[in-house]
Amino acid sequence: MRKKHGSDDDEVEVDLTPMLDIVFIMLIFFIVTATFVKELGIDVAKPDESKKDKPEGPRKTISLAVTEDCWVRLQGRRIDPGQVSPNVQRLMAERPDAPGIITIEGEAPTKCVTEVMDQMLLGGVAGLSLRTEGGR
Amino acid sequence: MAGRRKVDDKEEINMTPMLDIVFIMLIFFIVTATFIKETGVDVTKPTAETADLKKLANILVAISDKGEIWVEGRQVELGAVQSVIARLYAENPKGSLSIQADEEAPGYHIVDVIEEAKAAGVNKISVSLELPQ
Repeated sequence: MRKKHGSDDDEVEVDLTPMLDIVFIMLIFFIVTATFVKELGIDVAKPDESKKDKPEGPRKTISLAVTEDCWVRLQGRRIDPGQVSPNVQRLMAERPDAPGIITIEGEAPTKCVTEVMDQMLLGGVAGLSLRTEGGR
Repeated sequence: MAGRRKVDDKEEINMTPMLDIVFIMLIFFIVTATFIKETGVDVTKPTAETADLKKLANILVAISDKGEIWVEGRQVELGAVQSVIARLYAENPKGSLSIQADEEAPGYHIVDVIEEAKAAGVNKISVSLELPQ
């Protein structure tokens, strides 16, 4: 293969096979290790510490408490967790776009808290925050 | 070419389009790859109808039914949670925290973990749930 100096016509054959090998292996690695995140959930955020400590909180929120035996304390009344959604809907009519604050009393189990979270979202609150008594 | 059969046909396959596609796919996967570290413990997640998909949840913290906090396959004390979350967040700044709390676990642990996460600088937090069957 005689090289002609100064010729524009030089064709250099680059063997692409090793590069293709590496690229394919990397691609297969990433495809195989790609996991599709199956996390389902509800977003939460902690309310400002500067807000008042009482469960009744500032007027622009919908605030309730979940007791240790899975009852809900809303505006001084004890209601069943399944009743939270219609109550919240009613309150939302008075305070549109109000965020929800859930106070977890004592050892209230997670499933009660999440049921109330679910009910509040079904009732239409704008967002949820969780707190414990005493503002922990 | 009157009836002559060429036995030695060398057809050059043009590999450029295939290379293009392969490179694009590779770059796509590299960019979207995040490494999710499992918590190390299986919990019974509560169900909720309003649960939706959290696509960016890659910091996973589990709370077992006894209130133990598990991250990255190990159990940690509440005081250490903040630094663990901060480290995981530094590895994946676009990620969000998903708290997998067992349904029998006392709810205040969730609030504790949320507080540690906020101290670590993570503001996108969700509680992991399942949809009702």
